[in-house]
Amino acid sequence: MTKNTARNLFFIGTMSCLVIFFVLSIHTMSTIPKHTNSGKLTDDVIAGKKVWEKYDCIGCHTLIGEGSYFAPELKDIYSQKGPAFIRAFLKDPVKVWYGSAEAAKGQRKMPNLHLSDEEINHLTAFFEWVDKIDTHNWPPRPQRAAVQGTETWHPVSAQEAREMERGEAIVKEKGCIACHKIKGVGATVGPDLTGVARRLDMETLHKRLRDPKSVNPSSIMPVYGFSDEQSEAIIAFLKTL
Amino acid sequence: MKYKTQSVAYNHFVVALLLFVLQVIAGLWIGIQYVFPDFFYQVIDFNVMRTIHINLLIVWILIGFMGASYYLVVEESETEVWSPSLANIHLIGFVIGGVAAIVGYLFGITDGREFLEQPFIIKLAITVVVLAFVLNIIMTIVKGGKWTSVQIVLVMGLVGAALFFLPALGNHVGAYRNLSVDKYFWWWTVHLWVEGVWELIMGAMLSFLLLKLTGVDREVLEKWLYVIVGITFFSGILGIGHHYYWEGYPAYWLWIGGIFSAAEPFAFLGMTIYAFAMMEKAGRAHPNRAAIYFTLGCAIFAFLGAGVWGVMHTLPQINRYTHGSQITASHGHLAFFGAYAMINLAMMAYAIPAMKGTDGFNKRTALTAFWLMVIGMSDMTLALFGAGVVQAFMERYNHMPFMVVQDQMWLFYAIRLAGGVIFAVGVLFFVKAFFQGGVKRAG
Repeated sequence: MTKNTARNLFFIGTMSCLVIFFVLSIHTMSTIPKHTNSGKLTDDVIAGKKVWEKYDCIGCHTLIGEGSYFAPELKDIYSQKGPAFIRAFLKDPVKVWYGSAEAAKGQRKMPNLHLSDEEINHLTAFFEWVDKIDTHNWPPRPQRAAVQGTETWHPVSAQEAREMERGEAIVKEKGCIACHKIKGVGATVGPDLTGVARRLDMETLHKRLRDPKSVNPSSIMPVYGFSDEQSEAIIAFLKTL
Repeated sequence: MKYKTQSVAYNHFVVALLLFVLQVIAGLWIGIQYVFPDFFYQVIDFNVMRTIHINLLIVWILIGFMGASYYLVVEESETEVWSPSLANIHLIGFVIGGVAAIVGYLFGITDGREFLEQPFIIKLAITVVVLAFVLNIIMTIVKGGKWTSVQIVLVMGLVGAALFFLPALGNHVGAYRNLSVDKYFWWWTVHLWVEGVWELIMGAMLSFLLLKLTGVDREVLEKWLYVIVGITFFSGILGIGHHYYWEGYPAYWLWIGGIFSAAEPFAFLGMTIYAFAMMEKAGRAHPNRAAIYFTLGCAIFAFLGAGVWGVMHTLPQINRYTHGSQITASHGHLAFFGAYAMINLAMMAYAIPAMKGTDGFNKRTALTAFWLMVIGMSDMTLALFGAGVVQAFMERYNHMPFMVVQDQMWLFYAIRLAGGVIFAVGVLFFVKAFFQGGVKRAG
């Protein structure tokens, strides 16, 4: 091979690759609405991306796997922790995660960015949208249905079934997995709720739901102000775990 | 010095080296924050210094490229720089822009897009600076009238770098409101720079150094340069697909990215074999040992860092578990050091003594710098690799929470910090050798 052959191969190869790349790019852009739900790209989501950039969040976190590896991946933070947790956490990260500044000493922790309520709402909307981007199921998460206990309680009457469903709805709405693990999904800030109804008696469960500190004075769980009826429903659901 | 306008290259090298020192200090800072999280917490947080660390990297490498280009083009064209004052002006412009950006980060002024955090106005200024530089280089070559292959490849690299910076300016374009669209074109700058056109710049400089250090036949050398940059673009352009796996794009990118990026190490392997083969061919031993060390060091560590450490986690089946983990940090450190820091240091180790009329850097000082940097960087790379394996297995494969896994990685971060300190000492030795300007060989 002479120098001229090598040079010609270089130019032809490069041009062909560039042409293929541009054609694929045009096609990829045409699929963006489908893969990213562009239709749901509301003003709040757009404002949320601006908040994300304003505070250089990517300087610590990763988002869809890119960023700085110092803090957690946030692609599916919305479905993993839920909006209630995101809002509470952003208000005071150290308190929510470690309980107190004292307990956070020597630990890696997010600085308090003193975000406004509006900024937090926008950021939450942004996370909700990012959560729905089709990333071929990245990051890998456990199959929710795969983890199943055998000794669980099953509702026998229609009333019990309704109660259990109401309890499940409350657990989802309040975002309990933001702190607790349920069947392998969720965080480890609070105790695992799988099988909790077999470990604790009914009275303790009620007390814990009403005022967590009444059982464990150092508990950092907030008081949600559940009615007795709601507590019954939640416990009915917990019994199925 | 045969060509007095080569002094513009010297000015660039001095600035580049000082910024390199600052980059390493910023790196030590965040290395400490990994081990002792309370270090300057809520004062200068991790994200601020991390941004500064990487911005300084980009800026010093670019300024080093500029200096090296001026040196190279003058030698190749056998003529003076077209406009030395323009060269000094754009250097000053770049420094002002860079300093403004970094001071801005300390006060929380940022565009918040990784690596491209510079505010829009500074990006515009950088564009002007780079265009002035590219113009000056091209005009110098035109003036000399000698379009050698080394110069053609260099100019393609530089023009390409300017061209692919343009998508970075688009943060205010409406389409970028969609994160996936933003990321798609963000990679045009980031990937097509470091896994594309920068490799051309590096290839041209490596060839130049081999020409100077070995005295082998230009015709043979230039043929292989085209073969290598041919492989670079053939694998690198569509190899961009390995960044498009998990970002909201069609699944065919998993195939394209996997196949083409698996070929990327061959470009670097080619450079390694090329450098060693040419050194082997050299009839005489060049007196500048430090330049030879850094040139061969560049060839080896570019292959290890960019080639081997990259291909290791480039297949989608593996990348699914390693994406966004410390494996990437491990790869990033060795690749940038091996390919782009080393080529700049090699150009300095060759050009500074040549300009000062000496035979080479003080061998003892320069080789101490070389080995301390190599040992320090290897330590950091392996420590981060260990951390990354733990993270990929525990967090991605076993679904354990991020912070729980990070606690298991503390020791790796401590070992990495030690490597960082060793590396920093090596850099100081290099600074010493640089400002000594070299020594005359006895006899």
